[in-house]
Amino acid sequence: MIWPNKKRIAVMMAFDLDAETMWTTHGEGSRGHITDLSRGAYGPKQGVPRILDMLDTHGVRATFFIPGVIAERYPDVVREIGRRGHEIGFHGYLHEEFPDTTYEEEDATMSRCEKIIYDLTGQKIVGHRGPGGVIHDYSLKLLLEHGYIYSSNWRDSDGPFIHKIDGKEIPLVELPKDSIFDDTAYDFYTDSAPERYELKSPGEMFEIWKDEFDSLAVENRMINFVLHPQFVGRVSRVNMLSDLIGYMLSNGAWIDTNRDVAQYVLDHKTF
Amino acid sequence: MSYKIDGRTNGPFITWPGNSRIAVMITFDFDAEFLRISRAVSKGTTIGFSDYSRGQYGPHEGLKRCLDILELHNVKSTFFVPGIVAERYGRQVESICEHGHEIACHGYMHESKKDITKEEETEILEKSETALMSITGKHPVGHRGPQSVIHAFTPELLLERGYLYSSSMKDCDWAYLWEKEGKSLPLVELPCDITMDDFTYFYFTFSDPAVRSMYTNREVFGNWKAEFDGLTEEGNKIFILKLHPQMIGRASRISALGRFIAYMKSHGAWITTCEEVARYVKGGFVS
Repeated sequence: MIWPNKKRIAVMMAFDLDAETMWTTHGEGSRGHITDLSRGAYGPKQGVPRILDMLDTHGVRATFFIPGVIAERYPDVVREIGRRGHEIGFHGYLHEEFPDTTYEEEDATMSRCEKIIYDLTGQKIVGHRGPGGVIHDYSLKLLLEHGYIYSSNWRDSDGPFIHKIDGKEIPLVELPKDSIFDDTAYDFYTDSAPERYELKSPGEMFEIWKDEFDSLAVENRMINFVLHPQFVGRVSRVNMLSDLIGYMLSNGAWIDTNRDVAQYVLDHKTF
Repeated sequence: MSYKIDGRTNGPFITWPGNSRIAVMITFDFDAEFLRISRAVSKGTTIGFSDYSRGQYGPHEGLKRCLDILELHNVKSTFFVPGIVAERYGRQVESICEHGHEIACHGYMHESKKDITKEEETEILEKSETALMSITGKHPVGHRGPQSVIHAFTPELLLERGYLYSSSMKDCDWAYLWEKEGKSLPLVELPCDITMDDFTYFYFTFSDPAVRSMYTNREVFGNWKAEFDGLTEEGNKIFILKLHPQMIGRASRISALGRFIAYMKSHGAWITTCEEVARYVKGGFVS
């Protein structure tokens, strides 16, 4: 891909603001577990303000994928995200991860969330990241019908690529993601079933991400992060992210929203 | 809780005494073997002699090292002690008191069941308070749920029983007052996090899914220092270390803890008990 202004790589700082839904959809182990739910609340309450300030320091705009119910629960946080110039994308209403959701149900969920975000921020949602990585065989069609210009669900390439239906290109860009750029692969520790006993240090996360950045930049590819303010929002990790952004900006990164990168890809298609 | 997102304050406006930049509480959950016994219950397994004995490393070996390092650096700490530990390890709990540390409530048998009634929890609190009071001579003012398990009715129950603070939540890095229907309750919350809990790094067992490898002190104290440094810079935060004498009490870790305490003392930390911080915070909110 040839990126604008001779940039070597497109980087999207993308945050999934799942808050409590991370725990209500994680399994039975956290049901009725007040302090587990409070870990979710750390995202909007503590993580987001810190992240917004850090992004402002670098003049970087990000994408926040926010379940509708969380937008309703933390309207001030969502308004502030919008006011600071960040993009908000679709991420389910309840962070639904059901593989058997029907077309009609999903259609209604998307409309409902689009209205919530529009009413709070005036933004029209144009991108989709399925909660828990779940999408459906009708999803591409549905995204097109809702006027979306990108999806961030596939994990099979370092993208971007243009989606096709029945072999024909459609105006929908895929901005893939992978667990290597997902903070939960490093910092989602929980003692509640299903347990996850792993906690990498900010230094280890930085090292892995920097290595991957350096190599992808040589290939002129892209990076789409999957970050959760309730985990990555701890001050030690926000400081690490800040260092990383500083490094990436100084080494040829175009850091922007999923929306703006998708629009650029649609306009140029110079693969 | 006066939480408002304005882009600058990551917490309510609070300043710490003596121009300190952060309030630090070095806390110990002195669970002995009951940590492992109660976990096995909650995970549907059982423990054998090795886990039982691992738990007893706390009262038999680790605790003394903890008390010594605190004394060496002249800091006061809070110990959360299950009632049964006070009964079974009376001499050890007395020595915690004699060193001037705070003793707080942590269940009777380290009960970590989520679905109990208010009556059941009342009974647990009564038994624990009696056991603690028989050693300390005073009613505990602080509570931490075993395995961080508390219930919707817990805050009000604590208030009814004369508690000043709770330290179980994980929703932010500042101290706040609990609320009910938009109104503040005179109960301070001192939140903590798994990042600053030695259990996250050092708990080892074959009796439940938690079996894992060890972490180096470099990694663990590196994480803690990075958190401490960042929170200190923000200026209005608290920092709670949640330690277990059976884990942090190993010789190499205690020495690393000593260095870390010294580092924090020389970098703007007000290190004291949860009770003292809670009184300060409550005073600030009330005035």
